[in-house]
Amino acid sequence: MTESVTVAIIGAGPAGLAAAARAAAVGLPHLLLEASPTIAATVAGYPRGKLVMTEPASLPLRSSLGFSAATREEVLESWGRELATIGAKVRTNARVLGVCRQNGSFLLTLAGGDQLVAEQVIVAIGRQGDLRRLELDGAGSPLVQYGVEDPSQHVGEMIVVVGAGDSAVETALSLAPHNRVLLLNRHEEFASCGEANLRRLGDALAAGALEVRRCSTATAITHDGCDPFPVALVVDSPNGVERIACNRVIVRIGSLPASTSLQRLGIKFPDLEGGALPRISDWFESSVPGLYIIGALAGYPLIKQALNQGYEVIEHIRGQPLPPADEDLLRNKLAPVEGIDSVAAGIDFLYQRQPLLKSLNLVQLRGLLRDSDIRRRDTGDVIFRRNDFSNSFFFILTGAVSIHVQYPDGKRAEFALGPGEFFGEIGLLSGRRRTGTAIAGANCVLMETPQRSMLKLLDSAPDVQRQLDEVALKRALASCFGTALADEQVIELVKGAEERDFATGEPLFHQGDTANGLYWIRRGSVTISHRINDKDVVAAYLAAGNYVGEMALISGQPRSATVRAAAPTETVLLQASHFHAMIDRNPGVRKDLTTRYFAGLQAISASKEGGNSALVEFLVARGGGEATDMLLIDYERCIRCDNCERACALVHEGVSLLDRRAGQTFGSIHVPASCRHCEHPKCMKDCPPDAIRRSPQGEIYISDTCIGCGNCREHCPYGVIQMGTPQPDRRPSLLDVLLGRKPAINGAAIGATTKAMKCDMCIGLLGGAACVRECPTGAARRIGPSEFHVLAGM
Amino acid sequence: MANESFLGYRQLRYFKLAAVAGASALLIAIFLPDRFGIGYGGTVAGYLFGGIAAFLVGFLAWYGIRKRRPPRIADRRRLERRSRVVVAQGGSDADDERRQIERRSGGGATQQAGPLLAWLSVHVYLGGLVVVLAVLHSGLNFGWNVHTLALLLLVIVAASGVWGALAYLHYPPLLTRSELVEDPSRSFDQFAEINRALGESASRLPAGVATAMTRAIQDDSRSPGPWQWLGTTRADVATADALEHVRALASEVTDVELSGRLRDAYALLLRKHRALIQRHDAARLGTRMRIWRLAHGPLSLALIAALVAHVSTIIVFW
Ligand SMILES: Cc1cc2nc3c(=O)[nH]c(=O)nc-3n(C[C@H](O)[C@H](O)[C@H](O)COP(=O)(O)OP(=O)(O)OC[C@H]3O[C@@H](n4cnc5c(N)ncnc54)[C@H](O)[C@@H]3O)c2cc1C
Ligand code: HEM
Ligand code: HEM
Ligand code: SF4
Ligand code: SF4
Repeated sequence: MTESVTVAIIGAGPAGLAAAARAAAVGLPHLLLEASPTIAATVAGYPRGKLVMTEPASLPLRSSLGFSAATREEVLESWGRELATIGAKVRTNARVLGVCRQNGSFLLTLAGGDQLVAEQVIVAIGRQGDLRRLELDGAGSPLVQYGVEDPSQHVGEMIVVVGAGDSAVETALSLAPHNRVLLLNRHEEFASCGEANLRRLGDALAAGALEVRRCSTATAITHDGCDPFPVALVVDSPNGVERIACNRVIVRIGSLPASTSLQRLGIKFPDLEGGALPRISDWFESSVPGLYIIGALAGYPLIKQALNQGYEVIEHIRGQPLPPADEDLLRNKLAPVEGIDSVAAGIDFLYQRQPLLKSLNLVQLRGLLRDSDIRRRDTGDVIFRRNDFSNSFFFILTGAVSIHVQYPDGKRAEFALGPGEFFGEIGLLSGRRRTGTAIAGANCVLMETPQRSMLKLLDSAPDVQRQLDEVALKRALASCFGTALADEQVIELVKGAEERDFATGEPLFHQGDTANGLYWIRRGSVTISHRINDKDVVAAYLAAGNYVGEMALISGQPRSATVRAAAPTETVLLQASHFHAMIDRNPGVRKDLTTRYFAGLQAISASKEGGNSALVEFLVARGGGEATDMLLIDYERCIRCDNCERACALVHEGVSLLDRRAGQTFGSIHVPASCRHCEHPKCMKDCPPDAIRRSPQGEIYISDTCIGCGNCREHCPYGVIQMGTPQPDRRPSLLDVLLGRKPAINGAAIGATTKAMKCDMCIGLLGGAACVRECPTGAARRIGPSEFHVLAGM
Repeated sequence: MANESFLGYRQLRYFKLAAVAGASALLIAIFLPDRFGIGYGGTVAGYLFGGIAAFLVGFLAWYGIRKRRPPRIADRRRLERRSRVVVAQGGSDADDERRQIERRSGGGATQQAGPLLAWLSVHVYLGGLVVVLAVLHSGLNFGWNVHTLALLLLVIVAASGVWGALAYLHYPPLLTRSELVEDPSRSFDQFAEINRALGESASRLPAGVATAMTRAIQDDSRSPGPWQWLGTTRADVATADALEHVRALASEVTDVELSGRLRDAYALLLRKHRALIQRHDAARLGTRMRIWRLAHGPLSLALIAALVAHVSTIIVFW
């Protein structure tokens, strides 16, 4: 049977619901198709009782559906009620399997074979993707689940949990206290499970609270229930084929990325490359005319944004376009720029005067402007200081700025920048401290863009990345080789430069190789080691912004050291011939480099064989190379009193953000599970409300705007973010201490998701981080990678 | 690592302090005209020593409280700096940061933010000084009374403190050794893994050895209990026995294949043996530390009670 409507909306999340509600309100023939049995599957999947947040606070709500901060249950209930009142047409249990174009309209195929013809299609399927399923016969049974809504609902059951990642382990642990739980791992190791969860799993196993089967693959599910167990899982294990009878099977084996689910709809986008999503216009129209993409899938990951877009897209389709919701906001932002009185004029001004922004499309530029702040600075104002951690990137709209830098060898220099130029690029690329101090000149108006927005932009606008690289490299070379280098010489030097990226541990070059050129480290860091008596000895650590490989170029000898990436590292390789030509023409530079060469030789002969290179490698493998500050515990000192954890919990709402026993030990150095405050924190990448911040002192912390979605926890490679409910904050009173009343170290229960919590280095507390300050033996300490070789006794 | 230990903290700053104070006390005891004898505690020097000693005992006991109530004082300068930024720019980042700092420092604090390491260093050395002062104070008059009880308790507490300090120096490396695991990514069920392999290996060996090995598999089911702190209970009886069996048989067999299998079994048993010993050591060390914690702290409370009794009887009866 084939129906037809004007607008088909796929996915009944906030975006789809708002679109349907608006369409119903204005009498536009529509149909909302939802795959699951209820509306808003994503929201319905939040933990029970979770408070739904209404970030971003500054965005006005524009929707036919109401939305205010309330519990998950209340929000769902009120949406359901409002939809019924408005008369929106919703069909649940209607998964759309395919969309194809057919003479100017679209043909939608639903699961079950139904078809639907629509003039316009709104895709609002969100980004939760599809949970990866067990591809087995019998896996369709309701007793095979893909999540647990509330662990306390299951008591006294035999439950098999399939999977070996964090979510599988957490599910198993949350069920273990009241059920018999068996965790089925296809592999030998729990490689994708975080250290803190591994530790908890270990404790639970030692206490006999659950069982684990390794190297065991489920091969079939049968329902020939022998009482009291209705399901049985047939498992291929090292002990042969086993049949495990149980009450239910819970499968947690990850999910497919959203781009896959979009691709699976079978729409052909002319501009789709790789895993990227198609571009959409200001009005959410994709490169396929008549096909709109809204909500989380369009890159707007918050409910309020999704609701607004549902409304706006319908208004656009019925030919009643609205001024964008952010028009007023942008106008206010542009106010400090003289002579700009409308958003259009401001946009034009940016296109004309900022070469870096020329290649952006309108959506990108508006987005950038929305995230940025424009401010007039008084002459002499310090914009940032050398050694501050960097948070933002600056465009000079009008006036001048002077940058004062100081090189490691103590030399100082000053650069003057004018309108159309930008600064802060070194911090942006390296994620490290500012290398200079910036001071405002006359008539200075700056646009300050948060680093996270710039990084997002670099990902999607290769042209900006290229321009930025060029300027950054020129400035870096000028600072490396002194200002003596004329512009055209720099251009000459950069000619034929190649980008080379290296994974952690990968060598840039080996000792004894012939020199191919000079590497400028754009991002990441490297260790330099020498072979002494057949052992690699790490002699130095070099961070982004520096160059390596000049020694062999100067001496004409093979490489005198092995250089390895200590973190994911991006470099630019300058050709040896250009380099030689440059120093031939600049006797001054040659002299400087020769001095450096001798200093380097001295460092080699000073590097001691006794030093522990393996320790440095161990730390690098544990994320040390990309850390700015890492908690280490000296196990020659640590008395295992766990006072560090207790102290941490006392400062952080009853939750210890470090797990002393988790993590690994090398010799006597233990790296507990705790945040490394990475140079380029992966946790920041995909936070819908941009709640993760870096302070000028370098602490990475989570602000109050966190909505508790858990993305950061997924992205942190070291598994150090916890989801939990902060406890009311209370320092124990004298009486508590005398009566022996102990505050809990882990007030927040696993799985009770409301907010993300992570180490913030006890931001702004006198005496520094509590874990270090409260260690009675001085075993705990925090260090950065530049101290590793000191630690290793080199 | 180059961090200082609690003994060497700041080039022995607190040891020097205690040594100077102790030496001065001795000089005073020798040169002040009051003479040691019955009632010495009531002389000028006696009151001086007793008073200081009592004060120090209070201070030493405060360590336990300081340890449980870490100070939380916001860095005012940083807050002010960020406040200025907030006022000047209305920026949300600075505002967020300020809120974060204020939350961390909530609840107020009355103490300085010195590291616990410094506190322990002071504690250890002044703990020694107290003994000197108290003994001088007593004028070496002892009897079966509450006064001597107080001194006795003080000496016991201090002695246990010395034991604790030594343990703090010597236990960590032992603990580390007992925790060291072959492969951390699967340490949590190394017993299960070894046992599985042992079971398999036993099934392919002659009956006598096989039963010994099967018994060795049982060895870890007894979880180490607190009674092991003396190191008397052995957790590895069956495993040691199985090792013996395998060794004995291996010395007799000539069959190449069987002796190979025996070698494998032996290696497995050795792994298990080491794991058992490690676990045993860890439990023993852990229990000793627990007992020490149960002794030193509570005994110091008893000491304070006895001191109160001592001083009150003095006030009432003297
Ligand atoms: C744990 C968690 C907590 C969060 N908390 C908050 C919060 O407090 N505040 C906030 O603003 N945001 C929060 N978010 C983010 C918020 O949930 C999303 O931004 C929002 O749901 C996006 O809405 P959407 O309509 O784009 O997509 P979704 O809500 O993901 O909806 C997509 C819908 O499409 C359906 N669908 C998918 N494929 C098909 C198909 N082929 N055919 C038919 N239907 C299909 C799905 O079943 C689903 O119902 C949270 C997210 C998570 C994961
Ligand atoms: C660490 C603290 C103290 C200890 C361990 C201690 C211990 C002792 C001992 C062992 C004696 C000798 C008892 C005897 O003569 O039989 C004594 C005597 C005495 N103490 Fe203390 N004392 C302490 C603190 C004090 C304080 C604070 C005071 C002051 C109020 C005090 C007042 C006296 C007096 C007056 C005597 C002499 C009493 C007598 O000999 O009958 N003591 N003390
Ligand atoms: C004589 C008076 C002393 C008193 C009243 C006293 C009291 C205390 C108290 C209350 C604690 C805290 C216990 C806990 O947190 O559970 C403590 C800990 C400790 N004391 Fe003493 N003590 C004394 C002397 C000493 C001496 C002489 C030494 C060592 C030479 C010592 C070494 C220690 C050590 C090592 C700790 C453990 C520190 C820690 O774990 O943080 N003490 N003491
Ligand atoms: S939480 Fe963020 S900053 Fe900390 S270790 Fe994880 S990714 Fe790095
Ligand atoms: S901080 Fe983490 S949990 Fe909170 S909103 Fe950001 S990504 Fe989601």
